[in-house]
Amino acid sequence: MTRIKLYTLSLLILLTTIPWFFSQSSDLSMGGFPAWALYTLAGTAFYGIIIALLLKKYWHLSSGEKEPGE
Amino acid sequence: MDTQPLLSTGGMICMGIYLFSLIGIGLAGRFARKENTMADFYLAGRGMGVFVLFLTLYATQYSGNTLIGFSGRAYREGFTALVTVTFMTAIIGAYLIYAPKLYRLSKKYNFITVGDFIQHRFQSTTLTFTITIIAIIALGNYILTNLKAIGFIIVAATGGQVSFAQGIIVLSLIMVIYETLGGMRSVAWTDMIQGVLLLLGVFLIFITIQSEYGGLAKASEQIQSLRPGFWNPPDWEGKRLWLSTIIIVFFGISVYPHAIQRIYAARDEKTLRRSFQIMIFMPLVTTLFMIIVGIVGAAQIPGLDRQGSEQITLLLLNDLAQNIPAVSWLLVIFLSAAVAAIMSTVDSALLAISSLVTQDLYGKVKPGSSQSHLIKFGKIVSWFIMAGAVWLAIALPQTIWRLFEIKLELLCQIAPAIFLGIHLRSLSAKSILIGILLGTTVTLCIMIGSWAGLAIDAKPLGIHAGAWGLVVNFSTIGIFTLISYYNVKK
Repeated sequence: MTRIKLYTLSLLILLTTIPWFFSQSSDLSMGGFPAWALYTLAGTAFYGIIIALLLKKYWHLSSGEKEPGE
Repeated sequence: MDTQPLLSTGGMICMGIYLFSLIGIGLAGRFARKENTMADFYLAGRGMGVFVLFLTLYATQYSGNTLIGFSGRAYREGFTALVTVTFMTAIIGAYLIYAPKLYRLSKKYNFITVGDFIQHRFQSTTLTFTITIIAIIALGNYILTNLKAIGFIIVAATGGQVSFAQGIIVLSLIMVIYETLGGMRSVAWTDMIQGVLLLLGVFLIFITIQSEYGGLAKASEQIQSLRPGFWNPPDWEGKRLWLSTIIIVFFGISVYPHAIQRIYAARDEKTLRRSFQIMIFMPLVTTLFMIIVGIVGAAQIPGLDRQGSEQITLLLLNDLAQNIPAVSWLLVIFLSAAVAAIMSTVDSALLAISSLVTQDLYGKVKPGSSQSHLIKFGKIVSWFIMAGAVWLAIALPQTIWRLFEIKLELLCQIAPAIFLGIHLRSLSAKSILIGILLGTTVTLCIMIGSWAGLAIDAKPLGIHAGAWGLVVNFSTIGIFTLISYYNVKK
């Protein structure tokens, strides 16, 4: 993993939280949320989990710890 | 104009005790001081642990807008208000890009402000001054709008027994006293209490409204006939606006100078990382809860105008309190949480402005000043800024307030200097400076042109003025970098 891949991945997942593919209202709902809203919420929760994991695993990569000098 | 107070005398006394106890915490912060240095005053000695850091980040990032604005937006717009949950989460995603390296550099080079990083990275006083001034304008704007909100809450809580001006003056005095007593330590400790209060308030209100009104599922059934538009997904323009909102917040809120100070103040990398890992899930238990409250409100109390919709949580609680007297205590918690949320944001912004003026402006003009002199100067700055903000919040006519809507749109223009500057060594100060100036000019032209009634849309193609400014800003930096790359190659 490189830094550019790490940041691109996180931004792509963020973009998928937008309900791009929902254009029509439908009666499908769960817990009071329409399907597209549930998609956005689930996407946001997924994005949160991924960022939490990336923070744990790639903190040192993002901090540029191994770069020579600043 | 006097109206029925939302709080009983007992409620007002409880709230008063809570507010004045904050000065005691400020005093405790003063006694906990380890040394008379800028790092100790503005960054609590760079020793914040996970618990304090998380709560101060939480209380600072969730302002009164969380309790009042988000539910009001959900009342008016329905499920599209869920964009607020996404963008509050995205802020932590933005930290993944720059915070780990910025933290490491801040430890190595003893940064106090965002200007310290800019000066270290670009070695340009002009760029540092430009970024500092943009940050001060955006933060000042933030303080002003929040002070005005606090005045309205106090008037509603006391039914006008405490006037708008009195409310602002007393609460501002409390904030500036505890802030100048112990600096960041006092602010972070008061933020802890304010953060817990905010979380508790949101949680209790959500549970009560869910249980008493039958939850979101029942509200959604009613909404389908009352507001069928709530069920529609955003159209293409709505989706573009959704994306544009995320962009503005991603780049704007993540570079708040007071949030950056909290990154510097972490005890170690692990502490900072863990705080972010908790913070990223807070929108799901804070913002989402208030959105659901707003949607339940739309089903229970339909027909409110914009101003009325901003009070939807209060109206629901008032409605419940008519039948269940115990709920009136929730009003005390809600109002205290709203005031706490606003205070924790204002005190952090005030401390950040004080540090920016002292370290990045005064410190550059008088480079040989001692640490104790700078701290004294910073405290005087805090008092002056608060006095000015109080005067403006009370005296400015309503028509001028539109000018203060520029906040995130302006602040996000400094983001390329941080996001790109921290990773790309080839970037020059000149390219960043011209990018900021052009981006800010485009943003202001669109916003002011629209307000002035010219044939300019406030959000051309459904995209915020600040996002257009960012496009120009990033493009300028890209073009300059390419030109200098080819010049070097030649």
